[in-house]
Amino acid sequence: MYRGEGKYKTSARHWTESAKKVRGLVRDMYTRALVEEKPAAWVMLSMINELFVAMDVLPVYPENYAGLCATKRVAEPFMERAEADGFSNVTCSYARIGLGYTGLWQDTGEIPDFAPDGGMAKPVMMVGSSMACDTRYKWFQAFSRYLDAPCYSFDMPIPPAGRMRRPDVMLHYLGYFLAQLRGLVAFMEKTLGKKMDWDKLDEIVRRSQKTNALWYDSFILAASAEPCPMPVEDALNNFVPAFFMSGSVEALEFYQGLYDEVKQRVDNKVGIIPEEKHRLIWGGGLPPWHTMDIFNYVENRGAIFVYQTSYQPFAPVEVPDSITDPLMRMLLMRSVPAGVRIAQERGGSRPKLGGFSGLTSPAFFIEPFRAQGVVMSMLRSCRGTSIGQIHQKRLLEESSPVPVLILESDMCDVRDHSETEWKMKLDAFLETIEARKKDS
Amino acid sequence: MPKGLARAKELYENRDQRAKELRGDGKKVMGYICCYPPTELITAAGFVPYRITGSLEPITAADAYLETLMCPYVRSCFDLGIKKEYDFVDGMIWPHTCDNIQKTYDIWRHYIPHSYFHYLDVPHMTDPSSFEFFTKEIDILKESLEEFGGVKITEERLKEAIAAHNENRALLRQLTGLRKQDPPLISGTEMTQVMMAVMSTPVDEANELLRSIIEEVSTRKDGPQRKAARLLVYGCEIDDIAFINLVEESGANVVIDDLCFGTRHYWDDVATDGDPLKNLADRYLGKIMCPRTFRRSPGTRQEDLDNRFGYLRDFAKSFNVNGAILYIIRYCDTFEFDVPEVRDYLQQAGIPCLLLEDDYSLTSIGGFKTRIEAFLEVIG
Repeated sequence: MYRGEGKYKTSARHWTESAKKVRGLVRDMYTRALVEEKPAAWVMLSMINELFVAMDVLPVYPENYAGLCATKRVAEPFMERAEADGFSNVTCSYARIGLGYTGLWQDTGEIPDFAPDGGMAKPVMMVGSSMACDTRYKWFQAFSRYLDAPCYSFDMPIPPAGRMRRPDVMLHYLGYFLAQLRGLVAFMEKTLGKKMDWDKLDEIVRRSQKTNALWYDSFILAASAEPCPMPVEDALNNFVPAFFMSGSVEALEFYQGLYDEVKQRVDNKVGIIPEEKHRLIWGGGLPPWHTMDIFNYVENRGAIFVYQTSYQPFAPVEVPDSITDPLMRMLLMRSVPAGVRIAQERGGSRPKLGGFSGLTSPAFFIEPFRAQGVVMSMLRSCRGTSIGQIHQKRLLEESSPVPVLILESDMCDVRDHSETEWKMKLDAFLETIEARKKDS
Repeated sequence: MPKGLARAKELYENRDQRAKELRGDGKKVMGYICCYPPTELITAAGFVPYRITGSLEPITAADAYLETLMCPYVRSCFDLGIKKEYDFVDGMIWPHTCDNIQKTYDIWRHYIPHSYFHYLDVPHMTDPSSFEFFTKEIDILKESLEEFGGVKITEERLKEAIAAHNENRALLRQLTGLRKQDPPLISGTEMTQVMMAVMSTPVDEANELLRSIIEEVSTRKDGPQRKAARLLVYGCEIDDIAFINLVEESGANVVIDDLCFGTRHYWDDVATDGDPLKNLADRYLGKIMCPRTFRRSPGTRQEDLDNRFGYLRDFAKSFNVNGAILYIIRYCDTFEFDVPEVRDYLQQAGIPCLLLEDDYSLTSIGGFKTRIEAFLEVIG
C-alpha cells in the first residue's frame, strides 16, 4: 500500500514521553522550511548542523525525510520514479526516495500531494559529504538532474584502526578535516552573501556539547538499567534531535527532558515489559523504518532491545578552553565513540574490533548492558552499514557465547522486506537464546 | 618464449606466472587493488607491482566472510585470496577508493595473511587541501615501503620509476591509437589481454612487451575485421575477455573504453618537473576519471557535466564511435549514481547507449547477447 497512510500503522509503539515528542519536532522542521522566509539547505547528515544554526539557515535532511516516507509507507512511488530514470534498485533507498521526490516535483512543477509534512522546501544550497559512505556525496551530486541549487560536498575520511596513534598522522587528518570544514563555511558565506559569526558559532557549538553530554548520559543510563526504561524503538526516535537539530535550543531542551525522564523511570524501576527474559542489542545496520513495530513484536515475546549501535551518542569530551576555533571544538567533541569510553571506564581491554565499523561494534556493550543476543540488519541498498556484518558476527561468536542473528531487509524499500521471514527468524533466535540459557 | 600478442595472451592466461618466477628469484611481489595506488613507488622500492583481480569462477568461499549485497568484483578478489591464490603476494596496498574496497581492508587483512599491508587514504574531493592530504598519504606509503623493503626510495629512484611508468602509459596510448583505424588494428579482446599482462609484470618488461606488440600490430595483416559498429565500452572492473569478446562476436568493434583495466589506468601521465610526491598526488587524484572522485562544478549544470564526462565525448569523437555500452557492476554505487547522467550526456551528443547491469560473473551472458545484438541492429 502506498500514497497515504494505511489504516493499520506499522510504526512502533513509543513508551517514553520524549519519543512521542519527536514526530512534532520533525514536522516542525519541514513546515518551518516551507513557510518561513529564511533560506533552506538540503544537508546530508554529517554532524555539522551547528553551522546552519549559526548562519540562520533552515536545514532539511533528505535522509531523514526518506525515513519518514518509509515509516508512512509512501516511499514506493518516489523510488519507482528514480528507478524509471535509470537509478538502479540497489542504490541507497534514501537516495532513490530523494531523487524520486525531486523527479516528480520536476515533472509537475509541484511538490507531490502525498509527500509527508507538505514536502521538503526548495533549497538555496545542498551540502553533501563523504562521511560514512559514498552515497552521501554521489546522491547530492545526482540531485543536480532535477534541482538548480549549488551543491558542495566535503571530505571526512575515517582513518583505519590504529592509524591515529601516530601524532603526525593524527594532525594530518585533523588538518584536513578543518580545511574541509573551512571550505564549507566559505561556500555557505558565498551562497548566502553574509559572513559567519564565529562568536555565535562558538556559543552554538558549546550548547551542542551540553546537548551531546545529555544525550550520552540518557542513552547509557537507559541501556544500563534493569528493567530497561527506554527501548531501542524509542532510542531510534530520540536520537533525531541530536543528529538533525544539534546546536539548537530545542535540541538542548529535548535532551534535558529526556535525561530527566529516563532518570525518573530508572529511579522508579519503570520498565517496558513485565519480565525481561532476554535483553538484546540492535548491533548493526539501519532499522526497517517501514516496519518498526517489529520491536513491539519482540517485546510481546518477553525480549527487549536495550541498546542500538546504528545511531549512537558520542562520549562527552572535555575540550580545553585553549581550543578557540569552534570548528576544531566540533571535531573534538565528537571524537570518542561511546563504546570506547565504556571500555575505558570498565578498565578492561577493548574487544577485538572488526573493520571500519569496529569502533561502533556491539562487542563494547554486551557485558555492560547484560545482553544475551545481538541482532544485525543487512540492507540490500546500504553498503555503508552492511559490509562487515558477517565479520563482526564471526568475531563476536569467537569471543562471546552470545548468539548473533543477521536479518536481511532494507531500511526504506519495503519490497526487499519479508515480515514473515523476520518474525520466524526472530522467534527461532529467541528460542536459541533460551536453549543456551538452559544449557549454561 | 613467444613475443608480442602471443606473449600477452600467455601472460593473460597465466597471470601469476611471471610474478611467481620473479619471486623465486628473490624479488618481493607487491599486490594492489584498483587504479589508485601509485605503482611508481612500488617499482622504486624494488618490488614487483601486481594488480589484484577477480575471476569469473563461481564465488564459493567468500560467502562466509563477505556479504552478497556488495561489489561482486571485490568479493571475487577476496574469494581468490581466501583460497590462497594470492599466497605469492608478499604485501598489499589497499586504497580507500570506494565503500566496497575500503570496508574490505580490515577483513582481508584479518583472514588473508601477507607480510605487509598498507592502507592508502585517497580523498574523495579535489580541493587544494585534498591534494595536500593525499601527498602526505603518499609520503606515508613511501616511508612504509622503505621500511618493509629495507631500501631508501631516493628522489632519483622515484623519478626513474615515474619515467618508466610514464613510458608504459605512453606505449599503451600509442597502442590504443591503432584502434582509431577502421577496422582497428587491435581488437578490444586483445587489448584486454594486453592490459592484464602489463599489470602483472614489472614495468620494464611490460614496456619491452608493449614495444613488440606495437611493432606487430602496426604491420599486421590478420587484424580484426570491420564490423557494423564501432563502440565505446564504459564501466568499471572488466578483467576478463569474456564480455568484450561477446560484444565483438555480436558484430561490433570495441575501439575505445573507459574502464578500470583500460584507459583509466593509463590515459594521463605523472608530471616530471618539481616534487615527485606532489606530482603523483596530482595524477592519481586529479586525473583519473572515476566517479568515486567528486569534482566541483565549475558553474552551470552543462559545465558540470562537461567537466565530468566531456572526456567520453572526446573519446567518441577521436575514435569515431557510433554507440556506447555502459556495463555496470551491481552494487558499485559510485557508478550506479553516475550512469543515468552518462547515458543522457552521450545520447545528447548523438551517441546511442545500451545500459547493462551485471553481477560481474557474466552468468546472464545469453540475455546480454540478445540485448547487444538488438542494440547493434538499432544503431547499425
